[in-house]
Amino acid sequence: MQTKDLGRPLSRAVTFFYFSAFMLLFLRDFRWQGLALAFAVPMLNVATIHILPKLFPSDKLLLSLTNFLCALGILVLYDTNPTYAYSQALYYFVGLIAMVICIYVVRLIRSFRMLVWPMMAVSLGLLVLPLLIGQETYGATNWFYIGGISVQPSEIVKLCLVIVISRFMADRRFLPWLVFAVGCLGLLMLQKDLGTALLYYGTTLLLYYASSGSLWITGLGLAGGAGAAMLGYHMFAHVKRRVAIWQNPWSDYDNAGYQIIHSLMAIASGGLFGVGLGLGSPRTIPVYHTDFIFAVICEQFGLIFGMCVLLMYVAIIWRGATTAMAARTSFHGLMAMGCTVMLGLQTFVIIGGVLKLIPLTGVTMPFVSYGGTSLVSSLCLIGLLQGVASLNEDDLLEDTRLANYISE
Amino acid sequence: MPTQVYEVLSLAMRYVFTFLGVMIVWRAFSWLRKDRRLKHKRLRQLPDAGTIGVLAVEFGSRELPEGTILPVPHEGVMGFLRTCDIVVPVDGVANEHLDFTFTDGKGLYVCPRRGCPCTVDGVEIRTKRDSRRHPMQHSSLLTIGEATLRLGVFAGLDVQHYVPVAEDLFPLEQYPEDASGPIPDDLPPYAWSDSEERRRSDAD
Repeated sequence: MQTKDLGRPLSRAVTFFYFSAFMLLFLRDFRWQGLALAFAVPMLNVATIHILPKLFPSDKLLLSLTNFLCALGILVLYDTNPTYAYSQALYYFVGLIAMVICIYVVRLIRSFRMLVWPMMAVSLGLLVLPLLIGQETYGATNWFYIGGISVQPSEIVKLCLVIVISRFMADRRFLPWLVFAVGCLGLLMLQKDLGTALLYYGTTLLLYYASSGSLWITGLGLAGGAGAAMLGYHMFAHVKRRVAIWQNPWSDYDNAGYQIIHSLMAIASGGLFGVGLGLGSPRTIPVYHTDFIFAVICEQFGLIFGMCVLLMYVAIIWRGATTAMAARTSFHGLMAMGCTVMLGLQTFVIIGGVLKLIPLTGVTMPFVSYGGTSLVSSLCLIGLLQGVASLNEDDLLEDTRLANYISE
Repeated sequence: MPTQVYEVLSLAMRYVFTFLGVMIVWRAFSWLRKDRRLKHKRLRQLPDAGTIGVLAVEFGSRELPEGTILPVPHEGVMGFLRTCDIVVPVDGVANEHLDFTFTDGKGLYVCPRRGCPCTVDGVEIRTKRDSRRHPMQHSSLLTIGEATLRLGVFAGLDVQHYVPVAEDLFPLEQYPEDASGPIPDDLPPYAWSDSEERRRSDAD
């Protein structure tokens, strides 16, 4: 379902936003890269929004919002650390190609029945790799390096999890998806990657509710998760520390509470309209390029703009849920819902952590945070959603054809 | 650019950025709202969207009287519960009795849950293999618990072969299964599949 007249003003606003923002940064230091980005990012945005939908029926609104958030990440990174921005821009381009591939995969492979078993094996293999050859970063062993490029396999496995669980739930086969989900969660716990484990758990549980409608078993799963969280709290010292810091970050200002306090101070100093792009001191916030990038956005652009960014995520989730509900097969519906839930939960976990609503866990802000694997996997999730949306559009056209056929 | 000038410019531009951010969100939500309205409008014009046909109740219960028409989606669950895609509140029907899937060019496959048998045109379906062997075609009769339902597939959807809507009106012998003979004009329009329509136009 597309509305043409609203697409153009939105696209124009996004293009003007990025052109003016990158030009402003170019005027600050007259680096040619800033000028190049001032033209390249809006052009890529326009090209994606206007060329992709010509190849097949896709969702322009999802494309526009996703592009806006990806480009926002590049803008903030360019302001704070240009090296990260160039790398992120490259991954953005790779991510767009991956997104197009995902759209075609959903359109061409309708059932995925033959693929789910190999996907399960590859996913579990990928999650074992960091335990064997990975390196510990911020307390979790969830990375490994191939040829100088760091890879976070849990980001790739996200896609497989959504597809595998949707397929088995649509076929009403209980055991395979349960074994797979528990296996993934177990390996993530061994990696001590609790943030991603929370995402996997939440997505599985919500997908189960979406497929079965059983409140009773979903509640049981929720209670089991709460029990596991309590166990994790008592078993892992760093979880205990994070909860304590969440409750009172000022108790350990110089050490464990340093991140969250600086993040809150940055948000507060931004006020309603921000301190101005290129001004302020975003580099004082630890891990400003990944976990705390939302604090940097609030500091530079202000709380109103921060709320707009949150509302953009809400719009993406709304659109995703609508796509899922309009799907004609339960597999596609569950897959679209899985992608939506995954993105929504990830956004809630990281922004909730930055705003001190919930304890902070190390996940990235979808599309915005620095991280190649994360950006590409988030765009792949959007690709799967777009694929389902385009199938829905095809189905509606088919219905119109049938209606005309009958009326003739 | 001198730092002071840049600061003034940046401070001024923050209002522009906020305005653009609010405008983008406003446009996005207007788009969502407008699409929702458009979708409802299109669905009102296509009341059968998402369904492949209907199941007409030939024998039911007080809650599901004879003649009731149940829309059939592409796939789903049939059973007694209100949460099922096709609700059949009749004695002998389990909470979730069977799963069904429509495959274009083949028909509607019904796969009963364990211990919940059903029959398709008098043939008992117990396993997935039975289901694969006996897909429901246009006008096939499904018996589930004490209910008897007749399937009507919409015109334009391709099924393996057509079967007349009501055997007493259109006897089976007149229309062989492979449908290779001449196709009479007195069949109701929705009994035709695409392939037959094409063959008919070729013959003309």
